[in-house]
Amino acid sequence: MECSEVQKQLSAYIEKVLSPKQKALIDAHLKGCKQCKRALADLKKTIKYVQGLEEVEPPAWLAQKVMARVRSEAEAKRGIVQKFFYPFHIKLPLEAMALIFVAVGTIYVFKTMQPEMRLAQAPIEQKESAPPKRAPGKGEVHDVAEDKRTPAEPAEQFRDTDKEKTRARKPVGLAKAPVEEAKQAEAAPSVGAAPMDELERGVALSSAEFEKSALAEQREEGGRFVVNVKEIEPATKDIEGTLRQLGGKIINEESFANKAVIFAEIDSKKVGKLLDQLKLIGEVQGEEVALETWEGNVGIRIEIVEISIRP
Amino acid sequence: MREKKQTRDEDLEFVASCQGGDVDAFEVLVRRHQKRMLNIAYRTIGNYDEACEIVQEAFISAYKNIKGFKGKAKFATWLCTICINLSRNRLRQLRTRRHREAYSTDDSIMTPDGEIKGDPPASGPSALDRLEARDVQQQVQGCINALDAEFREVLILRDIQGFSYDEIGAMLKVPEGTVKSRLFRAREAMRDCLKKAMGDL
Repeated sequence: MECSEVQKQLSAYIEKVLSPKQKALIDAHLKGCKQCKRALADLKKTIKYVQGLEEVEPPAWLAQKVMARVRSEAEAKRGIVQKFFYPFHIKLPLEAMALIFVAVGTIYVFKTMQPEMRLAQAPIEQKESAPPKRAPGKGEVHDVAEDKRTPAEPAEQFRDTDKEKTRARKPVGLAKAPVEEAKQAEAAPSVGAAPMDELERGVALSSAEFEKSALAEQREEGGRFVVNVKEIEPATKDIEGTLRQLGGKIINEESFANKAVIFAEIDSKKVGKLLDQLKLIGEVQGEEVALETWEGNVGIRIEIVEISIRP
Repeated sequence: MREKKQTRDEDLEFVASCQGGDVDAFEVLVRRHQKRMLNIAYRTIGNYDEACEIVQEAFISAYKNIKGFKGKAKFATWLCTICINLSRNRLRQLRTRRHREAYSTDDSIMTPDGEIKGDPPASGPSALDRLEARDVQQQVQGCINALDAEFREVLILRDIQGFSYDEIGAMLKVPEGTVKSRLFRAREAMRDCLKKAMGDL
């Protein structure tokens, strides 16, 4: 075995990764070769030198610096996460509250405006469906749902009732319209999808139309009367008797120091008679409202005021 | 000095906590491995301050990629791979910067064919004086610096850090046989270099 060849394998020999046969060959060569023996010794020394290198100690700030950077890294990451979820964390309750507020507000507004809206809707409703209906039978009751008819039909109506429609748009037509529409509302008080529809239409109405409908609302209420009497108690009893006589229904009674208030429901046709009766009991102040066209019961408010205090 | 399988799976629970977002668990890992990382970087680069920088970068990189650690290798091995790669990159940067400048007039340079072209003055009159313990350390480091990166890495990982052949193979992504042949050539180059630097071993 040649020296150069042996020396090439010395490292492997040290690492003991040679086959037993090769190892035996090198062992044999090393016994008789000083040069190779020395080479082996040098190699072993070299390894010792390398292994003998002292370990360096990390500075104390190294771990601190690393952790400071890692923490800021983690913070930044969390920051992104927080930013991402920010709208959900903060805004969700806000949005929920806003939604509830809007919903409650809508219901409240709708409840308070409902009658007006129904009446206010009338002109438009008339335009679409009422004219042909009105011709054959004026008081005919028809469902709100009926208005949703095929598109062909309204087109036909447009031709037929063109004149009537233009009339319906005029204030004269409007005066009639609320009454009829109110009848519809009473006949079919469907509070479903239709009211929403009405609401939308109602909003579109002009202020002039709105005034009209406000007037109509008073009618539906039947009227407010103030009766000036000398003594409240007997007068109140008289009025109650009169109401019962006319088939009215007392809904509520409130009595105060020098006045009493009766809320009652009465047939609209009998309001006139009631008014006459009230005039017998005391001095009546109140809006004179024509209710001939009204059908069914109306609510009235009678205020009984003592006049004896006044000189 | 050989540390065989210094860390076992005891790292894994901290790694798992870390993957779950526990920063403190990472600190445990940093403190546990920083010394070894620093020594690998230091012996590869040959500069203490640079090595500290590399260790920092390696840990930050490890933290950022900790979710990518699947436990196929030991965590220590995985960390060292990062450290080795960063050291290698840094070394390349430094070399280009120095522009073929020799590391030291005393050091030898290894050419690709493995031959050592030593500087004759290295074996000057002061050679004997330099055989102090501290100087020996410097000489050895100088010779490591003179090695090509691929030999240097193997020598550091095997003879200094005591990793097994297959661990080194996994880290450097080379077959075990390549690890061995590189190691042997690295040792021979070291022997020749040291002989030249110190006269006699």
